[in-house]
Amino acid sequence: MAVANEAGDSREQGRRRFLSRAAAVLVTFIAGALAVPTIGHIISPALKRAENPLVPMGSVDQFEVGKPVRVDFLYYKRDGWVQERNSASAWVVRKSQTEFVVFNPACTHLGCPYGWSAEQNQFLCPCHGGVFGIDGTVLAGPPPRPLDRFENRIQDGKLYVRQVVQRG
Amino acid sequence: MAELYGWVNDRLGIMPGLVYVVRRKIPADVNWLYTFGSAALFLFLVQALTGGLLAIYYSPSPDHAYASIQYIMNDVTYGSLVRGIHHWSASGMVVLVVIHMLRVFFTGAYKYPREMSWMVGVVLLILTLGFGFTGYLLPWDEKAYWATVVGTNIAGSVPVLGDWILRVLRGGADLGALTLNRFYAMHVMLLPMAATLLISVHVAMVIRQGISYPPRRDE
Repeated sequence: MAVANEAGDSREQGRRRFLSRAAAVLVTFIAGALAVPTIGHIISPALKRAENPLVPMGSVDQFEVGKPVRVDFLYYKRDGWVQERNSASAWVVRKSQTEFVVFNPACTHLGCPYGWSAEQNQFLCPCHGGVFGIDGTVLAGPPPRPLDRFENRIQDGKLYVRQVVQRG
Repeated sequence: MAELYGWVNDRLGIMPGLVYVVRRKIPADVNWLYTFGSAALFLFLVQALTGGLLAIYYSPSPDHAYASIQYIMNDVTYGSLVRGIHHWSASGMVVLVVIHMLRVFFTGAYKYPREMSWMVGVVLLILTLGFGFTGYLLPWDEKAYWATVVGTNIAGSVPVLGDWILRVLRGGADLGALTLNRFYAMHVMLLPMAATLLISVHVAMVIRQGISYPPRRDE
């Protein structure tokens, strides 16, 4: 009788140990399965890089070679579930029939908006006297580097600009 | 793990409490029907987790509610999975809570000395339905909108107080931005706080009193 009880007890203990370990494994598995979508869900927007859209600047025919034109434009950007309407501008320089350069309208010194002087054939920044050539190179003043450029593309006779700052 | 447990136990002496909760005796003849309360509690925790995740992206305004849910469904990693779990667990929780209540009723477990558990449980049932009612509006689509129009109209059909109840529910005469925002506040702030408190009381009473054993022939 005593022997039978002992055998029963050890069988009972073995089963108990098995069950508690099985439960621990199962809980670990469930926790892992929950953690993956949870973390993915939380960090999701941080993993996405929003790209500015290609914005049409109109027909290429309106730009003359050697005459920079400042173009103001509107573009839409997605902020989560909100469509944001933003305004921006760019300096468009036609280099040849097929080649354009588009400059970020902010001076590379401290970000002031600069202008084009037709008499001097130069970009002049009013803030600290930065001077750039039509190709964006620094001719005088404090700017540390040439004008920054935006990506541009010609499609079906139209000029498109994407606001991706490229070092000049 | 054992070390951490020892460190905490040295300071707080949690061993007796843990033994009391985890190693408490339950009747030998309970069966699977006695697990629906725990299952409902599990779904409540699932809802708390998935609901918190959805609240990261949901915007409770008429302008943005629908679009923010489209964002969750189409742009957020695992967003549709999280929302799907929240959606189905919500229905599942109502089903489990009702089965749990029927089990308690048919085994007579609501009788002395457990009347308080029953009464708190009835309030929890109402809170669960409140979660369902307020959550249903949040997608802010046609179904949600008109279901809430009808639901609040039903509340409005109560004699004498009806019109007043309807206005309180909607935050005015018509269903709109005020309704959406107050339903959202109820759904994610007030109801969860109330439910957490009452579930704690409910479970504490079960642990204190033990599970009632199934009806036996010899009684």
